[in-house]
Amino acid sequence: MTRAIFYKEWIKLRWLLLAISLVFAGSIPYFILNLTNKFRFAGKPHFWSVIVGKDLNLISELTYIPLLAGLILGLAQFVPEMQKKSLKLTLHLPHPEKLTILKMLLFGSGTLVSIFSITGLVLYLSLSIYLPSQILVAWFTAALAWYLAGLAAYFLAVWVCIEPVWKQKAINTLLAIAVIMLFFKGTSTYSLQYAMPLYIGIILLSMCFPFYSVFRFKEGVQQ
Amino acid sequence: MTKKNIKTLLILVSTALLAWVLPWLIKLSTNEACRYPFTYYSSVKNEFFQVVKEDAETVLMDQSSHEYTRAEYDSLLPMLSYRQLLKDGRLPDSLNGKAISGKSIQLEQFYFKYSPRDKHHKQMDLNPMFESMSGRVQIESPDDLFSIKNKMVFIDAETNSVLENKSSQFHQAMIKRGYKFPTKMVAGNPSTKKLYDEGWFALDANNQLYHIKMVNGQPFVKDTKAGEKLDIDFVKTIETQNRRMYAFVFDRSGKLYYLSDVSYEPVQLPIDAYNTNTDGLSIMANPFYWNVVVTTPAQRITYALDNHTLEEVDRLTETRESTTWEKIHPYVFPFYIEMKSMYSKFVYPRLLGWSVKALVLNAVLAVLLAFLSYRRKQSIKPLQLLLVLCTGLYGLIALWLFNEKQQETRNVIQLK
Repeated sequence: MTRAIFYKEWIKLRWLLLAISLVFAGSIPYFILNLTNKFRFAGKPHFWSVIVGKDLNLISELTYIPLLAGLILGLAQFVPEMQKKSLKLTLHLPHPEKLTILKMLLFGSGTLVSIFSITGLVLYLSLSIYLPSQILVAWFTAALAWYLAGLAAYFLAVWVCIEPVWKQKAINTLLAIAVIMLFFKGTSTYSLQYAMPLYIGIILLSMCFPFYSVFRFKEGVQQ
Repeated sequence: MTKKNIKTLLILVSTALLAWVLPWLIKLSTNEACRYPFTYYSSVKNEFFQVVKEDAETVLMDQSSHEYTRAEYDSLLPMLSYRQLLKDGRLPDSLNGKAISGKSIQLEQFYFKYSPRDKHHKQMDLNPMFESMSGRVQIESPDDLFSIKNKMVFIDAETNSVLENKSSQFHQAMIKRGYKFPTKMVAGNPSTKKLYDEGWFALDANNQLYHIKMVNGQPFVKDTKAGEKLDIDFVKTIETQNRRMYAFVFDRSGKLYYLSDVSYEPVQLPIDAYNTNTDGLSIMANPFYWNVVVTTPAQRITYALDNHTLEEVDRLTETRESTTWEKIHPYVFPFYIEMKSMYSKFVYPRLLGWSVKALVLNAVLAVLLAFLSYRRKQSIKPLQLLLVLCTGLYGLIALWLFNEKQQETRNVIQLK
């Protein structure tokens, strides 16, 4: 059944996952070209000093991309289920309901984590040709919060999406926005380093939230 | 995991979020600028002068509230306005029996600023090691940067590789002088736009303060011995025209010193206990006095210290008026959460403003919740009452956000 669920999700999301992968993979040559371009204009030693002195983060254009990826993936995975009422069918499969939803969530979050970690790792290794680890660790400490925001956004989007009552949907949306805002409070490269345990806690908690909406959906709570 | 468990989690998370969002919104709508007037000690009248902003008007006054014109103000604060006085040809030749000129004032003048955010933030472990005796007027930027955290390493920017010889030369020189890695902190000015270069001051693993610089391409490493005399908390370097000092050093007992150019001797400033985590400091020095301004969360103390003896000549204490938020929050919220702080660049949740006074409102809200539950013929849940009693408005709103009974009742009404 696990393979069947994963296959169903793959069929539904494969083009979107490809598009997300292409955006993240495409950002790698962009960041490298952007960096080498700046090196050519300012000179490597000077530009290193500028990066360090001004706490410049050249991958900051990545900030909201994981958030958008998580949000779109969550909506793309569950909006069709809600519109076509196919979630009702899914929950009637000869398989424990909670496990079915868990596997759907695992597929979504797993692919998201894979895209984030593979492209993130390739970006780190590519940039390490030009920059020392002292700069890259600082940049990726800031970027970790953005990637985690993407993951949290995915679970929160599913939570909002499955919720059957519109008033509750609006409340959930407001709470989700407040949660996501917590990830974008950083002002310098290292400013979020102590917030990482909080972000991981938020992700673990937000993994549970969609199940609350599923319970309500199953109970037939309506407006 | 049951629905009830997840609902409890959602209510608790919402309570925490509201404890952050609600106070933030109130602060956003009630925030008032809390600025102390600019204060400077007059070396002519030997008293503090202030620039007070009243509505759109700027008033220049002394401590007896006597107002002055701009020209009078310049004359009474010649150390602050000496450039204007020079331009007007009004700078006196001598003051308090001491000959003064634009150059002599400049020589003894410096400005130093410290904010708790200087201490509570993290930078990339890379800094430039300038040549301290290049013989050039302009300090030249090197082609490499050094990392000092676990080992002294110079990294060449052109090749992005470690300069083995230079790194080993500096590392060995530091080890030879007794330096113990890992480095706790490093202080210096990475800018090329400075009067001169004195390299870096690094606090080693044993809390010993070392002076490290490059002289004629060779490492210069010296134990300042300041670490033996003081329990160093924070160091911030400074360049002054007269090269009187290297840095200001804050120790853990709240004392402030400057590191003298004479054998790195720490010289204590006679100010009250200083807290590097909450207090701001600025020093404006001139040939006669140091204007030392210490801003704590509750008040500002401006000290006038004699430039030569560093003895306290005068002090002015001003207390800050509470803001609207400070006045209301103890009665409304039992606590609140802040992610950012004016004292730190780090972002993380801080539980602040614990107040017992808010328990009165919390109790009223808990009674209200019990009454509403009774009227709606819902069972009164002790845990919900406890949540409202402890968290007040936050808990009550969170309970309302996830109140299912209300929806179901409405469904029934709609169906009818």
